[in-house]
Amino acid sequence: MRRTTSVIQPGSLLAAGLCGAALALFVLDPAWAAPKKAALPEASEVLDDALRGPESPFDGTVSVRAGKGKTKKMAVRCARVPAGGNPSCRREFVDAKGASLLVFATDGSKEWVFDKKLNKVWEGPASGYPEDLKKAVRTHYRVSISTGARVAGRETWKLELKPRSGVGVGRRLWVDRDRRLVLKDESILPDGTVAARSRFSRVSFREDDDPAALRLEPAPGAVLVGRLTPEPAVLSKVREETGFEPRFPSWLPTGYVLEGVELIPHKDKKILHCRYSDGAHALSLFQFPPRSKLDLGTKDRREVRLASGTGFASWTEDGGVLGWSAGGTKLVLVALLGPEVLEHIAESVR
Amino acid sequence: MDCKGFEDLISAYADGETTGEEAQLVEAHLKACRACGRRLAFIRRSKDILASMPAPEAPADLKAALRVAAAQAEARSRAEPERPGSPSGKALAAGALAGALPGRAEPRPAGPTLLDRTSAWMGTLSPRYGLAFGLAAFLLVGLWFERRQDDPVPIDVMLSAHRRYALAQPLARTDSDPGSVDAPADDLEDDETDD
Repeated sequence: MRRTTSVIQPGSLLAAGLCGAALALFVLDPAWAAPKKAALPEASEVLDDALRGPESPFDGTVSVRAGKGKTKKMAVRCARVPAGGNPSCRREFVDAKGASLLVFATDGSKEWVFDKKLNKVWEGPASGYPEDLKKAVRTHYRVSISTGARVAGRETWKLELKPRSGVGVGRRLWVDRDRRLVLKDESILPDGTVAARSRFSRVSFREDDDPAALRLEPAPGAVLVGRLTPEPAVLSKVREETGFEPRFPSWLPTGYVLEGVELIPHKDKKILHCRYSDGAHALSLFQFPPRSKLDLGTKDRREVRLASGTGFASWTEDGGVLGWSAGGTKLVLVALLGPEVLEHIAESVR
Repeated sequence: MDCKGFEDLISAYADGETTGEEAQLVEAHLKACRACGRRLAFIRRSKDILASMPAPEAPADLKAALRVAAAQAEARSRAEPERPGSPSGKALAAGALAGALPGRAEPRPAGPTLLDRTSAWMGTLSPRYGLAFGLAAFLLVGLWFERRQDDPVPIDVMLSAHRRYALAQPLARTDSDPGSVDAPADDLEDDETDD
């Protein structure tokens, strides 16, 4: 029997020490228990990227629902966003068979909306997202970031935008981690109710880019009308019926068009109701004869400073409300839009 | 006669109420006195301005209200036997009006009722107070009418119009198209929850 002598060598001591340290690290840092989370980026940085739009062209399918309305399906196709400009995009509300009902197209400088059923085209300047509005987003909201759920199979950052004033519609945005496209968007009322939601159910990013393919091709004989203002005949009738000069916005968020106007009789007054829509959401601009008094309710009412003077903002289950006066006419906006957007629209009313 | 003595005569002359002799006297004085000439011009201009002012219209239902008030007062006086010295219903109604009509005020004997006392008090007022009372009543009616015009438009009027429009599925009205189907609602739900 051969006797062996156990000799501890200095090299083996070092190896044992390294093994122990590795074991301790393995036990203390449970990387095996849960996948390591990605570090959160700065909320402001993700927000800036999301407002600028994705750098890659993309195709996708979006479901949209506003308030108690039905959910609509929309096919979206956008080209690369040019530096400092607005992207060329084409969006279509489609039916179950994939046939388009309503087509929105923009080449970055103009916007068109084509209603196939009415064979009608609204045409006007493209809205884009002005720089001062981007700045207003930062001043109007407290922005926080967290890890979002996967949307359309893609990893997201979740941005929460809460109005600093406590009045008005807030937003929750799920932003693609790599491409910075907003994949899901919720409008939140101050009481926490989700008033509107849109979500990509499918998205794919492309390398090829052909903005020409996104152009609108209305059917021959389509009636062409202005995007934000009514026809002269309608305008003169409104003047005659109301007795005051109606005003209209020169800027609305992309996709919104003037669908029509109606006169609402109230006691001995006639209220002008301008109805705008982007196909899923409604935006109302009410106008009142000079010297009219308005009761905008007392729900979290606060003062707003506008170029034309002081306005009042409040909110209802239908969204944000902004009332102000310009040139003697009283105006009220009602829409599911953030306070900074309502103020931007009000400033554009001429 | 000095200018002070002509003051009343000039006023009467402007109203055409002087006799031929008085008119000659005034005209002779006016030729010599520029101050009295200016006074006459001022009185005539004031008369013109007052004449050109529109007469305020009484509210449409004033006549009917007065008739009702007079009828009620008369009925009350018929129900009670007329006491010596107490005014009749028509007299009471006339008394109530007396304060509001300048130059028509006559003292009324005080009666035992509140209405009698009020009408008597109003009757003792001078025409100037009567005019002030009438103007105040006119202003109050005007203010009430103005307030009625300026009733604030409640936000509910706007919200109901907005909801009507929003629920009508603006643009792309798929509900009127039997061939179209809306997206399933669960397309809006996530497969997993946020962290």
